[in-house]
Order: sequence, then C-alpha cells, then structure tokens
Amino acid sequence: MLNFIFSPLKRRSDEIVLLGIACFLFIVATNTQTGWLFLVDAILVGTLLLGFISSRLQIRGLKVERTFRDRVYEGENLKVEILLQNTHRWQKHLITVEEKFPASEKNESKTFLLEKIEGNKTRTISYEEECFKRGIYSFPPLKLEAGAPLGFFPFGKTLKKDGELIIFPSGPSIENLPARSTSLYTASQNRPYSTPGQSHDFLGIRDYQPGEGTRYIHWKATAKLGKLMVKEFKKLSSRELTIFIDNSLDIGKGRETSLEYVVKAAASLSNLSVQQNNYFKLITLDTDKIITLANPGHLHCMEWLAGITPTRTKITAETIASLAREANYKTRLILLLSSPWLDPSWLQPLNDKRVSVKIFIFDSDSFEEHEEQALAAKRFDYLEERLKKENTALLRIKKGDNLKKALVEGLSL
Amino acid sequence: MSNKIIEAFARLRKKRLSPEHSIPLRIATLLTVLCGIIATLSQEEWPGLSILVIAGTIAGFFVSWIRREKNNWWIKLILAILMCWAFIDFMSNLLKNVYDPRIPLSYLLLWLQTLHSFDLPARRDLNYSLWTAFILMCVAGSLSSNMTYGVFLIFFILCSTFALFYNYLSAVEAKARVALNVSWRSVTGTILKTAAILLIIGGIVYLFIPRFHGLKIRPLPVSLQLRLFGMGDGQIKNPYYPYSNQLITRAFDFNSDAYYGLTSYLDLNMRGKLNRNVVIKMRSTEPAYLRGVVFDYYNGAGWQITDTKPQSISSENPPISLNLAYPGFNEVVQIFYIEREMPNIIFAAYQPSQLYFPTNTIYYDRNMGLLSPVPLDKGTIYSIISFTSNMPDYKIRKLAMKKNILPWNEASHYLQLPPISEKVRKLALDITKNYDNDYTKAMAVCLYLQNHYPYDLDVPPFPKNMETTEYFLFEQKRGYCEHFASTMAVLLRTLGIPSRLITGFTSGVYNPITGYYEIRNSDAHAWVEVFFSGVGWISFDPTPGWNSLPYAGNEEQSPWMISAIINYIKEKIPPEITESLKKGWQAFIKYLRTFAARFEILDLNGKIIALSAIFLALFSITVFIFYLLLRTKRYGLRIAEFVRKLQNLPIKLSNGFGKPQLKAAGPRFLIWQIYYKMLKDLVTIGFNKLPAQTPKEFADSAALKLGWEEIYILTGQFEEARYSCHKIDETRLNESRELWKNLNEKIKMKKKNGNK
Repeated sequence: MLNFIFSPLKRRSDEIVLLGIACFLFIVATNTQTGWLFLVDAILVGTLLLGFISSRLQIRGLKVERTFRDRVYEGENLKVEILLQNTHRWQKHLITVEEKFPASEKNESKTFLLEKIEGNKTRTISYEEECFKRGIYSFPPLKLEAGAPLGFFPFGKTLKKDGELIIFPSGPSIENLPARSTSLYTASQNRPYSTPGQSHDFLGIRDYQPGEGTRYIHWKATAKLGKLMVKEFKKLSSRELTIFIDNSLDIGKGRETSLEYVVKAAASLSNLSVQQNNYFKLITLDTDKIITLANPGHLHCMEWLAGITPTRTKITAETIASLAREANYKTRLILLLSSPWLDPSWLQPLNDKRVSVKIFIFDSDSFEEHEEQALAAKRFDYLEERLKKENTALLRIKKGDNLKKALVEGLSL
Repeated sequence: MSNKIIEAFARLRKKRLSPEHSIPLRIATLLTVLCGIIATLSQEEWPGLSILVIAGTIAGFFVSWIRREKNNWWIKLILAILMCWAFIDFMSNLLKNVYDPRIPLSYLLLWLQTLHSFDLPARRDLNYSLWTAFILMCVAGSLSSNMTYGVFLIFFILCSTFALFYNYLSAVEAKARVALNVSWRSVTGTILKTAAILLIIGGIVYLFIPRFHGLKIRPLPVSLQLRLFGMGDGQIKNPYYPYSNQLITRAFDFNSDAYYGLTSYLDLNMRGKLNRNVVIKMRSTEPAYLRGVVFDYYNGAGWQITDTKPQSISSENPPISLNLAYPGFNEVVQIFYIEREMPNIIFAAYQPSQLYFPTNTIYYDRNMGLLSPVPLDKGTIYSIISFTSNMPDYKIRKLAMKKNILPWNEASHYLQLPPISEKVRKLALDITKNYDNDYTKAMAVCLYLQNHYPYDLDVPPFPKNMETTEYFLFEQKRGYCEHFASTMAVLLRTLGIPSRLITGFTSGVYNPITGYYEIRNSDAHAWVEVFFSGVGWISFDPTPGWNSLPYAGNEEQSPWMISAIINYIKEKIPPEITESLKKGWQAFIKYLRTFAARFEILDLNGKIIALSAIFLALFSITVFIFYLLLRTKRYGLRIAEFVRKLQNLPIKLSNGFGKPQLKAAGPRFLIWQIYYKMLKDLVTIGFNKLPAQTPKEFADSAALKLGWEEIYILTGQFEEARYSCHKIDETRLNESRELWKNLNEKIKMKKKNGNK
C-alpha cells in the first residue's frame, strides 16, 4: 500500500515540490482567506491529478510485440521490429520505448520516441544492430514510458517479452577434410544413423515442399492421402570425426578470446563435416563430465556451439580417457585446446584404439598476459617435441592468426 | 591543492546542462511569465515599473536565446549584483511597513523574474521561470479584490499548458536523441483540450476544497503608518455631509453616494435610496454587522450622540488595545480595505479589542464607537480583532434573568425619552405582558415589529407635528431599518430596558472566489443594542427579513466551497425569483403528499416522494436524450449497433435448436449466408468442398452423388448473388430459403439413416 502511494513520487522531485507548494498555498489561502488563492491551489492540484491520470491512460491499452530473426551469425546485422498496438479508441502521445539489445558490443539502452499512435492502430519501431558475439541471449524486458501532455508523474511499464536470440559462431569455411578413416558404422552398440540424402536406400515418405522437383513424388501415397507426398532416401556417410572443444579457459576480451577461437574452429570443422556428409561428434566439458553431441544437423550444431560457456574445469587424464571411450576405432579426433597443459601419456588410450589425433593449441598468452606466461611457453615447446616423436600433429594458434590457414595447415599435417 | 581546484572546476564545467534549443518552449515560457507579470502589475498602479519589467523580460529572453551556448559568467555576475540590490530595496521597503509586505514582495518578485530572464540557457532554467511566474500569479491573486484576475488566470493556464507540453516534449526528445516535427495544428488541439480538462478538474477540486477559519497568523495587515500623535478633535467628519455637526439645525440634501446615518445626528425623516457602489471590501472570519455610530439621545424626530468629547488612545506600534467592557465569547478577525473616501469612522464588529490602524492614535466614546483622527482615504487598510457575544438564545435568556442594574448616570442615557404618547407605552406593555424577563420582552418587541410592519423604502416623510414612533406605529405602519430600530429602542425604553440605536453596515455579500465581503452603500443599516446584566449589550435587528439576533444567529458555516458558491449565487438571484422557487417547491411537496394520501401510501415523507418524482423525470429526460442521440450520425450508429446486437441476442441463444441464423441484412448477403450454411451442413454428411474446387464443380460432384438438385440451384443462386450485379430481391431470397428448408430436411434424414 505504501509503495502504491509513494512509488509515483520516487525520483520525482519536481512533483514533490509542487505538492508541497500546493499544501503551503492552501495554508496561506486559509489564513489570509484569499478566495483566488484557493482557486489557484485547486488548479495546481488539478494539474497534478491530470498529469497523474493522463500518463497512466497513455500506457493503458498498449500492446507490444517484438519480432526478430532468432538465429543469426556472429557479426551479422539483425533487424528488430517492435510493434506497438493501441487497443483504445483515443490517440496516445509521446510514448518512449526503452530497448536494450542484449548482444551488442556496448550494451547500451536505446530509447525510441513515438509522437502519437492513433486509436486502434499499430506503429512499428525498427532498428538494426550488429550481433557482436556468439551466444544465447534473452532480450531484457521492454520499458514503456509516457507522461503526456504535461510531463507530471510519468508512468512507466515494464513488459516482459520473452525472446531468445541465438548467435552462431562464424568460423572460416574450409574446402576439404582429408579422409583418414574408412569407418562407416560404429563398432559400438549404437544403431546406424541415417540421414536423408541421395543414396538408393529408402528412408520414408514426407510431404511435398513447394519448389521441389516432381521426380520423387510417391503417387500412390499422394492418391491415398489426397496430398502430394515424396520419397526420401538415405545419405551415405563415409568418414567419422570427433571434435573436442576445450572450454576450460576463456582468456581475452570481447570477441578475441581463446574460447571464441576454439569455438570458431569447431564451427568450421563441423560445417565441413556436414557439407561432406561426414559423421562427426562434438564433445565439450561440463563441470565434472563431458557432453557429447552426435552427428547433428547444421542448425543443431550451431545452436550447440552458440551455447558453449567456459567451465573452469581443467583437462585431466580422465577427460582424455572419456574422449577415448567416445571415439570409435580408427576414427579421427581433433583436440581444440586452450592451454598446453596436456600430458602426452594421456593420449595412450587413444593410441590403443588407433584413433588419429590432431591437436590445435590456442595460445592463451597471446590473448592476455598472465602469470604463468613463461611457463606455458616452455610447456608448449616440450609438448611439441614429445608429440613429434609419437607422430601426433600439433599446431599452435595465436590471437590474430588466420584461422582458416591454420586449420587447413593443421589438418594437412 | 591547485590541481584539485582545477579538477573541481573542470567537473563543474562538465556538469553544465546542455542548452535548450526549442523555440516554441521559450515562446510559451515567455508568454506564461508575461501573464504572471501583467497580472501582478495590474493590481496596483506602477506605470514606470510596468514598462521596465515587461520590456526587460522580453529582452532577457532574447538575450538568453542568443547566448544560450556561451559561457555567460559576466552576465551572471551582473545579475547577482542586481539581485542583491533588489533584495536590499525590498528589505528597506518592508521595514517602512512590516504590516503589509505584499507590495514590497511583489516588487522583489517582479525584479527577480526580470533579472532571471537574462540567464535561461537550459530547460531547467526555463522551468524555474515557470515556477516564479506561478508565484507571481499567487501574489497577484492575494492583491486582487475583483473578478478581472480570473481573465489573467485563464490566460495563464493556457500559456502554462503550452509551456509544460513543450517542456515535456523537449525532455523526451533529448532522452531519445530525436527531433520530432510536431505539427502546430495537432499540438494546439491537444493543448486546448488539456487546458479545458484542467479547468474542469480544477473547478471540481475547487468546489470541494475545505474552508476553515483563517486569519490566525498575526500581525494583521495595515496600510502605511501615519504618526499622528494628538491630531484630530474626535468629532465625526463625513466628507459627503460636510456640516454633520450642525445637522440638528441645518437641513441638508440626501446624497445617494453616502449614508447619512454616519454623522452625529440621525434624521428619521431623511428619504432616499443609496446606490450600490462598493465602499468597503472586508475579509472576515465570519459575517458580522459593522458598527459605525452609536446614538443614545432621542428627540422625537431623530437621534444624536451625547458623548461629544470622546477619549483618545495611542500606541507606539500596532495593535491598539481596547478594554472589553463586557465579556465576549467569539473572536472575529476582520481586515478592511477602503474602496472610496469614507468618514473618519472605524467600522468594526462589537466589541473591538485590538486594532491595527494606520494612525497610532484613535478616539472612542462611551458607547465604544471608534473614530479615526483623519478621514479614511481610498486604499486604507486596517484590521480589527473583536469579541462578539455569539451565544445561543437559551444561554442569553438564562444569563439575562437578573434584573438590569446599571449605574444611574449610565442608565439615564439609555432610558432617556422625550414626551411619548400613552398609546406607545400601552402598546409596549401589551406586547410584553406575557413575559417577565427583560430578554424575552426585548425579543417579543423585536418579533412584533418584524411580523406586523412591512419594510418599505418608499414611505413619505413623517409630519413634523407628530412624534416619529407614534406616527410609525399607528399611522404609517411601514418604513425602513431606521424606523424599526428607532421604534424598538423607544418601546424598550418605555419598559425601562436600556437600549441604544446603532448605524453602520451589514456584512455585505461574500464573494467566495475573491474571498471578500463586498459592502455597498445600499448595505447601510440600523439596529438596536439592548443591555442585559451579566451579558452586556446584545444587538437586535427588528427590520423584517433580517435575523433578530445578528451576532448570535450566525450559523455554522459549511466547510465546503460549493456551499459558499451556492449561497453567493442565491444572493445574486433576485429575491422575487428565490421566493417563487421556494413557494413552487413547497406547493410541489404538498401536492405529492395529497397524491400519496389518495392511494393510501401511509407514512411516506413528502420529500422522498418528491425525490422519486424527480428521479422519474430525470430518467424520462435521459431516455429522451438517448433517443435524440440515436438520431445523430456519430453516436447514433454506435448505439444503433449495440441495440441491434441486443435484438439479435435471442436469435443467437436459440441457435441450439437448429434454427437458421439470419441477421437483419440485405437479401444478397442473406443468400450468401444460406449457401455457407449449406456447405457447413454438407460436411456433416461427408461432402467437403475442397479449397481448389469452384462452387460449380462442387455442386456437380455433390449433387450428382446425392441426387439433390437443391444443391445445384442454391449454388446458382449464390453465384448470382455473389458475383453478378443483378438485383436480388426478397422473392429470390424467399426461394433460397425454401430450397434451404427442403435441403435441411434431406440432410437430417440422411443423418438419421446413417449416411446410407
């Protein structure tokens, strides 16, 4: 109750002063019995009342919708539209809309001003903003404020409009992934996974999508169901790849962090696998375990990569052992690491399964100076030397390096 | 240290507000400020100051606009010096007369507003200007004593609404970093509507604003002090009757511009009507008669004052304190604003206690009549605190039970009579024969005169050979206030009850908007004061139409302004109309009672019946207005649509019985309705029209399978109604309805037989 009474007065010093003047004026008018002062006082009180009521009436009856494309790539410009619908008969004036784009670099609020919204009409506000960094974002609530026509007791309303924005990582595109593994199916208990493709193995029927060719129309099904149905065949999958994303560290600022580089590299490799119809897995770290995503589609893969966050969990022998369990016999494993603190002996389980390992270390020193800088450099040299002996490819990537070139170089090792 | 100082200045410079570029806002603020200035200047005569202030303000706004982005430190320095000078000037003016600070305060505010207008770079500064304009309007309101202030107030509301709107617009534009191109037409429309709504809301708040007794904070206002130790002779000087001290022997002409009773002799044979010029404006805590002259000697044709050597009383500074001869029970505070030249009589309610007067010496006689050493000029202001014996009737009656005891020398003044006819004495005894108490006797005489003798200003002069009271009571039998008061005083004196005659003014008409009691020449009046032991002098008014006890009869004033406004309007309405309305209302109540009695409606209050009748009448009027609105295009359509929906409601409710839902619309539209209804019902028996099918194709397939030609025909009728421009009349509609009826039967049959 007290909040309802006093909340309009919070941070409204002008109105408080005017209320005080109104009270004082009433006392003066009563003491001096000056009739005109009563009238002036009444008009002042009326002004404050009108300001209080009209600002609330301006906001009432306004419905807001926010529309935007909810899946974009990092660096793209996203157009957001805010639709304000006036459900009342009378006009609304001077409505301010405060919006904060969650994925912008500066993280500043934007304020839009609408001069008027006619009765039973809709107005649209649109703006474009660069999606600065990959991730999964929620739009904060929209704030509407109105104080017309006198500006007293402006009334604001916060509208929670849920909206999830997923910004995909934008890794460089790589043309070819050299084939090393001939494994088609897993040797584990997993069922063969089939994806739609151009093989001759029948997968099933589905609805006809406008724009498709008529070659694969299943006429019997069409006749039976009364709508166009097409045949679907499986895709061939020829190569299997496991990609490990080390999200234990996130050194750097903005988009130029070690984790961003790791994720971009993973995105590039995933895209290539999808394009080449290769079976692949993505593995990353959670607090105390690994998380695996097996052979996702492009969108699913990007969404998963967008949601990767640093965990501060260090890589241990157990981690590599878990990777070894996930990777199939004679397949390939790419380790995208953000630190050189890897013991070569941990790779033994992988060697036992004849998994071909390639290691990319993203040099965290180059992203930011830290205490163990010198030690890390030495460690990297040591690792490079040891892995060379075991014919395990290792590549060091620094901040500012051409990621595409580094990946291609690393893959060709 | 010096670095810190430099940093502090740098922070101050950064804090400087951004300049305001909106021209409409500046213009609106200027107009608002000018409205406040002109409203204040118009209350007093300040020709030189007016030109300076108005021109200075306009120039200041222009300079502020031009230099809004510059660092005007030298302008601020000059303004600060000038403001200090203005303040010193204010203090020196205030010290000359601390009892009326309004004029010096007005001066100061006008100068501050003018000087401030030279330094208005930002929106916040323009806001401050608006606030000072508002304060100027309040000052003008306190100075104003007439209705012209209302015109300024309306202009102020309009201009300030503009200014507030543009102020808010500028603020939100700055926040959003956009500049809207707002059209003048839409802004003007919005602001005029806002101002109108504001006036309505303000008016409603004003009607219900409470009115409490004020004038609690002292000292009270008084005009400039005149140090006049020992001046004047204590005699009444009436500028409109210059030979007032010779009035007994010298005839004089009636002057409609001034009351002849405010002299040292009251001639009961003076005839004439006083004009309605306002002579005094008064603020008072309650209405009260204003005592002017007290007469205690009656010579048969008029009254005169016996105390020709009044005493003087002085005080270095206000107030002048007067001893109360008798206890008073009710404090009345009055402030007088003299509107035109008046005699040197200090008007006040009886008994005056403290006087805030421009001179430090005044005179008072035995009867507590107060005199100023100088005539009261226009513009004189003085205040008085009085204590009236505002007691209920029963209390006075109780206190006055004792026999009157006055010292012999005093009693002789108030019992003096010339030779009086026995008829007069006999009449006095007859009137009071049933009363044993002096108070009740006095009241009986007062009421007798009120009820038996009419008020008439147009009476001929009394004959000189007859005593006035006898002629009034037995010959003339009508007269005006002096005759009634004189007669009552004479009758009481014949009964041995001390009494005296007072002339002065009634409290006039209270204007609730200005807060003043407006006292006019025509409010001049005469009444009687009667002495009762234990109580003192009590005022009686025997004039018909007036309250018998003018001080004791003050009803508790309603605390709401609306009551005061209704009373003010009542005062303005001619009494004939009020009387007619009152009689009409009483007749209406009587008729309703009779009507109710005819139908044996027992124990019903007539007022309840009246209110019910009024309610019925209002309801009928509302229905009639509703009907009229129906006929107008804008509201009528909406109301008609609402009524149509109500009409269709029973049809919609009966939908569950399978009856066709047909709206009151044209035949073409109704045929469409029938066709769509047919499609809907055909679905229930398995005939679904595909989106790609034309009506004809569907009809071919369905009719062929079912063998119902109604489908085919109805489809043809639909196509004609939907796509052709042929005229579709009721005949075709009826055909469609018939076909639909037949089809409906067949569909029901088919459903019953299980779609076989």
